[in-house]
Amino acid sequence: MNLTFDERLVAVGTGIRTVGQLTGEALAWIKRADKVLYVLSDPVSERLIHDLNPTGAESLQHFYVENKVRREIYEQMIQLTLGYVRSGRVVCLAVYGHPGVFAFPTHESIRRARAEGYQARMLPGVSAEDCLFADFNIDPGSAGCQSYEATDFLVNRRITDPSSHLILWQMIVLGDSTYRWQVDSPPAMRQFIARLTQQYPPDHVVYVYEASIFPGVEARIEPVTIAQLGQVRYTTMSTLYVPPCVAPRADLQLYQSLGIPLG
Amino acid sequence: MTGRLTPFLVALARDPELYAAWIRQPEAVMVWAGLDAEERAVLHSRDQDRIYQALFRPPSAAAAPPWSIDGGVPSSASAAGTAVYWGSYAYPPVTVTLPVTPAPPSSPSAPFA
Repeated sequence: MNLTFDERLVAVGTGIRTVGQLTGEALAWIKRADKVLYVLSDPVSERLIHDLNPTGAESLQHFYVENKVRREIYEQMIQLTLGYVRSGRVVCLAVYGHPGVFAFPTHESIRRARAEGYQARMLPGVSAEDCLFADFNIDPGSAGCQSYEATDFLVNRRITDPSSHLILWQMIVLGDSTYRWQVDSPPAMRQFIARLTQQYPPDHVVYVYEASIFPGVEARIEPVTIAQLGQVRYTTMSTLYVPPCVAPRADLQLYQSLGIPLG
Repeated sequence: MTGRLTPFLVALARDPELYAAWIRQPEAVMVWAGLDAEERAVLHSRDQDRIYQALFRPPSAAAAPPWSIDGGVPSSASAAGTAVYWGSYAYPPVTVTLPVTPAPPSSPSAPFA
């Protein structure tokens, strides 16, 4: 049987810092595709897409309009993507970061394409979380790690473990279902702080984090106490990292019975 | 501003050989790529906002024509030194020489824990 690649839709990520984080297979699919539909965060990655595929590159950025409901934006992106797939083109959906991490249109486009009988695939990329582990020099294996979209964390009363790392995404739209470019204080910040202080002391130091998007540039890492979270500038790139505030409670009896050495 | 900043960063994204050369000798490689003093200063600043804004700035009227990855090797890169293979950055691939600063002795690498 001959090797064939029958994918009609491939979702790829360009990484947070395209210079250095674009994977070889993402690059190959961008070049091979008939259409490259992209949502990117900087002019370097946009120029790169056009250089790699001059005739097929098409931005989806115009769907983003300030105050527009995000669900509506995503639906329009999905419809355009599937329209090209149905027309017989090989489509590459290229987004910044990882195409499967906080990227609803990529997941949903693949789901719907498969439901219609098309081969569709997602390729992993470098997400902001990957950058965070590297920039903070923390290992999710060391204390465990919980990761939530910030609004989801708040409104669904997610149960978190303060002995684990906690990562809260999309701070800029905390309590807001519309698209924003930059805000001084997200609308649900007061409730968010109240929620965090149920488990963490108000003076616990947390970090507003933004991975760098250019080579040679350091990440933005802004330490702030939980009580001061309302006084920080948030952008579309902002993630909140909450370090553990307590040690895990060891079950000494279980340690002993399993023969696991303490420490 | 020559307008070469964005194509230079795009070239870095496409070509790990060029990226490696830039890590080793940032200034020399940026001169070789034809970035002017202002563009080089922008990258030396390591300031994300400043780089971002510079990418949208139009080339100055006196700037050279837009840089092409097909172009030849600028004369500024002709000083004696180690040969650098530019991979897909220049097509067809070329070999150029750059001023070389001796590399520090490598420290023994520790095995992963």
